[in-house]
Amino acid sequence: MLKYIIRRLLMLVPVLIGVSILTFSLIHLIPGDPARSMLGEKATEAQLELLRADLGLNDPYIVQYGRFLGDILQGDLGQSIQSKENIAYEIMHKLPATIELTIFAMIVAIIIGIVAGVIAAVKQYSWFDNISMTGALFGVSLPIFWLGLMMIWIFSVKFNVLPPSGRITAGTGLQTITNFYLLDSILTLDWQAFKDVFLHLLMPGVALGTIPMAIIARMTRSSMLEVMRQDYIRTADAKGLKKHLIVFQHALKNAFLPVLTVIGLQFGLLLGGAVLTETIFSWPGVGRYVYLAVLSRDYPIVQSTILIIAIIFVLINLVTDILYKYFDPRIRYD
Amino acid sequence: MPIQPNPVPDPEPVIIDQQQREIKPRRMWVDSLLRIIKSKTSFVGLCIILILIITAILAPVIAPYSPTDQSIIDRYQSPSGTHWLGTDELGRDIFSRIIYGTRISIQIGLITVGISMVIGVLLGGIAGYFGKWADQIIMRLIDILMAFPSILLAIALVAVLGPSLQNAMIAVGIVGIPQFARIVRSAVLSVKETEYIEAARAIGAKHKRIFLQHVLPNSLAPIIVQATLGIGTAILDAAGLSFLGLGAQPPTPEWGAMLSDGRSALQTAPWVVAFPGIAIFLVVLGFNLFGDGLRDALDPRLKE
Amino acid sequence: MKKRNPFTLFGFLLIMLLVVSACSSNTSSDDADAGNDNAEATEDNDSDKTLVFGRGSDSITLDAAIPTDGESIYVTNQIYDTLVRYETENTEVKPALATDWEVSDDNLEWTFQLRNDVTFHDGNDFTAEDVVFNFERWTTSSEFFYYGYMFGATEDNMKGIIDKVEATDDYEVKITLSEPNAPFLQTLAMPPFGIASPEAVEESGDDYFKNPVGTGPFVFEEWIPDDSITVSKNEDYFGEVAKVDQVVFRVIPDNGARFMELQAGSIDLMNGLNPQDIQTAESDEDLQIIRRPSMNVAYMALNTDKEGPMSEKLVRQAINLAIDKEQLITLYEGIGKAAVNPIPPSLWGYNDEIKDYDYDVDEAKKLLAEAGYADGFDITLYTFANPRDYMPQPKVTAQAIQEMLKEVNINVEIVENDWDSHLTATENAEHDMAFLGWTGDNGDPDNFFYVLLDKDNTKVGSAGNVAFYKSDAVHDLFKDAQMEMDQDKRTEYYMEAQEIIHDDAPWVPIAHTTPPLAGKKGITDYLPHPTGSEPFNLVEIE
Repeated sequence: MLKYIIRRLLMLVPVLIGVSILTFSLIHLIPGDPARSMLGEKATEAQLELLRADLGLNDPYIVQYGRFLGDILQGDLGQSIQSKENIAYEIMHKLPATIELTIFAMIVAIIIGIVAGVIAAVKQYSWFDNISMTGALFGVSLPIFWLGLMMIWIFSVKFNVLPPSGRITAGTGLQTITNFYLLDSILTLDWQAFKDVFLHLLMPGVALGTIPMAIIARMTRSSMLEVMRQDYIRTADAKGLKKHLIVFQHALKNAFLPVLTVIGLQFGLLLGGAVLTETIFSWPGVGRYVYLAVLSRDYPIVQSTILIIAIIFVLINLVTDILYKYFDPRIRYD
Repeated sequence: MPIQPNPVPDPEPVIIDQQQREIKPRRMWVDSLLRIIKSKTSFVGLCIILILIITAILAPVIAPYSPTDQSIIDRYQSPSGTHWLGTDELGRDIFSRIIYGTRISIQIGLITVGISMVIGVLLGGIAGYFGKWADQIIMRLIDILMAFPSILLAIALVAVLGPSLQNAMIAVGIVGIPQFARIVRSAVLSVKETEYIEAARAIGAKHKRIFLQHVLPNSLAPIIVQATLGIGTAILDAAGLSFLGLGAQPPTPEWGAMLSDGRSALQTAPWVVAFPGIAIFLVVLGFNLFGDGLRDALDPRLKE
Repeated sequence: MKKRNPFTLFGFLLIMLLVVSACSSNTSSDDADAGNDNAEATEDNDSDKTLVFGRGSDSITLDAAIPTDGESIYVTNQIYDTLVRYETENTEVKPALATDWEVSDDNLEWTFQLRNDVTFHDGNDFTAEDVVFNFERWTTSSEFFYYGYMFGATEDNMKGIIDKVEATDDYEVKITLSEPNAPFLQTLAMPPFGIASPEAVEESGDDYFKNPVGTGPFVFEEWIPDDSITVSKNEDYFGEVAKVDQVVFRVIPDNGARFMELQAGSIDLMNGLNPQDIQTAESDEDLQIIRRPSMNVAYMALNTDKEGPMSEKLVRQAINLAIDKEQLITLYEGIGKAAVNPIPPSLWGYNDEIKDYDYDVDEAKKLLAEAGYADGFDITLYTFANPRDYMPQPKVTAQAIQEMLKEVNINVEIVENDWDSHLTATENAEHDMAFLGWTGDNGDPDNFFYVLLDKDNTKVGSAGNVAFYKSDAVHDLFKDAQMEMDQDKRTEYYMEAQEIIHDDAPWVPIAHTTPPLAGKKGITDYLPHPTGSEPFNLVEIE
């Protein structure tokens, strides 16, 4: 197992280098002079020269890349052009918001998705199966930005039961320790804040979780069906074991592996989906951060944020693979 | 409307299909078509797609108004006999804009998937067919592309290229390349070793001929499936970019952009947001249903 | 052989959720007993009175001397004091840091008596030397835009018309001008001339913009960019001590979403109400509409300096003729009046004899043909994403104009940027046409004319005059008006200038608005100032 993990980690190196090259190249893909496109047409030559020197645009690419990589390894992600803020600091402060949202979305997706998938499989062709699988098909076809707005319309405008934006009601006075508000409110035993944060999470979480929920439900169902058709389950059934015992003890255990892969992949993709969700719900995370940076042509922010998210994405995929290998009795590790 | 879930295929037909495919490809297509029509879900999908195409072609006939004609006095009218789906912030007829929007959506779907497919098939084909270092290089490149959440990579690309519908299509197209490359590569790998290719190679046929005449036709099924599903995803992603203001620019009646424009009136005129979203949903659903059906029909093994 | 059960992971997650939901249901039932209004409940917990103010965009900087945008000034207005301040409801000047002042007969020497009981938020005493320090600081960089705009500073003459600032006593300052300046006292009351603590400025250096220290009614607490800025009451304030303990400025970019937050009760007050939401707010018994007195203008600047059609007066006039302002103004949903001149009619010096260009497509086409553009041309219209007080629907307005100009074969490409980039782009003259607006700072027409239309303010990179309109005749009139102390004479100058401007058509004036704010019913004594922002020390909340 350890050998496998080490090998996978080594395989990660070229991918991460490639990712860093690609994000590095982004700034050079800008048509024309990047300094010019950041500062505008009539910026003086002196201003341009200053920015070029700042960004090191005068050096050969390889030198620039070396410096870029060196800075990243030291945890220096550069400075925002607009606000001059330290980007690494900003990302560290906004990342908890995004991670909290994605984890919440994923928990919702996994629980509802797996439960619906299992029931649909056990009661194949029942009304529940029909409805939940139709729902799942709808789920993967929904534009989440639309879903988000419709939820706001229904739950905030029509019924006024859920807050339409933000992470927490201003003035709630939550003491932040980890910047994961839900966790912070538990740590400080501030149940008032916990409820507030939870309510704020609900709509963006469900909106973001819809697609993975649908995919997990479909995957669970088909994976369950396949397993249940296999001999040992039939044997167990024949032996008269209780139905739910069969389902949960044996079938789901084996059906879970393909589902796990989907969960891993979807979890990573949520980091992308967060851009839309965070924009709609004014969620102060990295997704909205990168979007605002795109609008204000603050390329260093775009570059750094994308790089960080890609690294997280790659790591999640790695963990998924390792878990897969770990749980799968059929696979050897070398 | 009760929709039957796609039954999981039994193992036996797979084997028969496998044989048929190599011996009588034409028979396979006929079979598949029959199966698609028989499956209610994919039939619904097919119908949605046909309606979409017909609407796009007949847009000027169907749409009661021009998609860009404004009449500010009539802004934010709720759905009525004169404006079936109401009017937007400039008093433009939402129904007409959605009708014309079908053209944009088809354009987005085809061009985007075209980009992904052509580049993906080429890369995947070369990687699978030649193997060795070509495979190594190409697949590492694909790995790198796949190391980014797709929509985020698309946003980054548009950020760099500048916001426009064209650039949004290029970005979403690039993001879709890996799926095609991987599918084609594995399909190529699986047919490459079969006897008739070995035979062709022994006769001394050229690579290009082998590739075009034997390898490609035999990996066609998964490509078609991916392309169909890909159109749905592409429309969804491009609409997302337009919603963020990074895709279609005004006054283009692109659905994502329309939805975005209606946001500020969500309380007073929710229909401005609601209907374009439903349009996106229906079209994407159509391609997903049809794509699922195609997959079951053409290559049941692809269904995991 | 060890058997691993993947289901344990799932089970673990399930238990987690059960715990979580159990907790949440506990709290919600507790809460139901206590009453549902959670904002109220929070207040009970800690008797702090917090006023949450929702707005559309974040501050760019908290350094009072730098920003020109209303959102930044909203906050600096709380933290800093100026030598003099405006009355709460108009632009008459009243004492603040200065208790008394006099001007010499030649109108060049101004002497201010300062308060001797003021301390900065960092504990330092406020003295005349601090005033000198601030005035000198403003001459060190062109990033202190307002100093440049208001006192005519240029790269060659960074001091502009302020010759000398001396501390003649611990609490007396003498300011010597190189030429008389009629609006001088009015100008000193503008928030950008807030006095910062010299020690804080020097200590924080480049980071001063996020660590502001002034003498104002509120002390800066925290800035979470793109999210919120918190200030707390200054107990030692020399004026009226604030009635609320904290003010939180929360950024909620979308006007509609912000209004929903207000309806839900999570914010107390907001600016930038969507015009279409006014009715909803009026019919809501928990809410009130507060209207800010009108002293602004929204306009479309035509870049007269750009080679091509925009440099032709005939084309600019044609564009004015091709725009149906009555239609356009309906987009303001009753909060706007069509604009004819660069200054609002409420200001003295307004020329109401000027007749607006009438909407006339044929005449517009004729002028275009005369200028040699019968077949039309392609141009850009730069607009901004977030609504502003004078333009609640920038994108929609841009599209409306796009469609109107199509009638005369002018093909408009809309370029939308966020507010910061929009300012940068327009100051850099990237645009052919651009939306902008202005809210009067000091109640003097000079503050509109000189900043927005004088050739002194056309320096690319920091231009206030983004039409890059460089009329010498107008410049002379503006200068004369600046140096003339007699208001009747100044009025004459401005009347004449407006006629020239109307004919040269560097702008399409669009609207003057009465910007609506919405707040909870429980808010009292919130008196919006015509200049666009006001200190919150008088505001009371239930």
